Amino acid sequence: MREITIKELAAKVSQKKAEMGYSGGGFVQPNSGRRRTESKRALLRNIEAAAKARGEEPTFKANY
Amino acid sequence: MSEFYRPELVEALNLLAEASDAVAELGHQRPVLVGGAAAELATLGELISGDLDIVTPWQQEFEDALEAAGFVRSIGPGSFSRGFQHPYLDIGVEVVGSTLLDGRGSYDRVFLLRLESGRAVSVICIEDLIADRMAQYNSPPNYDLQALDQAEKLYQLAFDLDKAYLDKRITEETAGDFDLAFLEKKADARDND
Repeated sequence: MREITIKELAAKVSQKKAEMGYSGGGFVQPNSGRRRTESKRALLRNIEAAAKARGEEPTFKANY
Repeated sequence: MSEFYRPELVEALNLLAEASDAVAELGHQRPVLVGGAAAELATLGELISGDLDIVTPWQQEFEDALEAAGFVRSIGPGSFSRGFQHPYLDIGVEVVGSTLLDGRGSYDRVFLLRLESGRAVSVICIEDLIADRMAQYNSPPNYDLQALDQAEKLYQLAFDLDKAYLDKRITEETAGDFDLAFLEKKADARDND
């Protein structure tokens, strides 16, 4: 099985990003969320609710 | 801790690796990471996923190991989820299938991502990940343009691509409606925007 370290992966993608001229963030459109299963919507809702119960915002933004 | 990916993702990957090791120790194939979290890795965190989608035929064994690693069944008011969530990492885990892309994905091309802890997770290959996004795009009459955009960006950021395999997989996943030439044309057009 092919193997790569997370550091090597990050370095290679970073290099490709630079070659493509993607210097900042926001260059990939997020999921529309319309294909999510009900189970997945519930999971993301529950994670968000748990974060808010701790007084935090979830680290992801998702449409569900 | 990797400086390139958000700490919550890296920590969750370490726990996933721990659960994967437990499944492997039972003599089974390691579970494979697919979907949004694989795309988060491939875009260096430009896409952020709320959960880790996993493919494994050994669901019970994997979920037992997941609980041993610290995840709990996801329970919320009035909503049912088959997934698990971590008490403080804001990341879920869900088994989304027993075979890779319903049997069309390649286990031979799955790669092992070695974390800084020394543990490792198995990850779907970039070609199958792109082809899956093309399948999501190909849902007429309302084509999913976000999925196409993600396929283009994954293609642009990919390295060591097997283009012949990618072409075959896009054609398969879109029932012949699209191919690599289409994706390349779209990606090139955006380059020149």
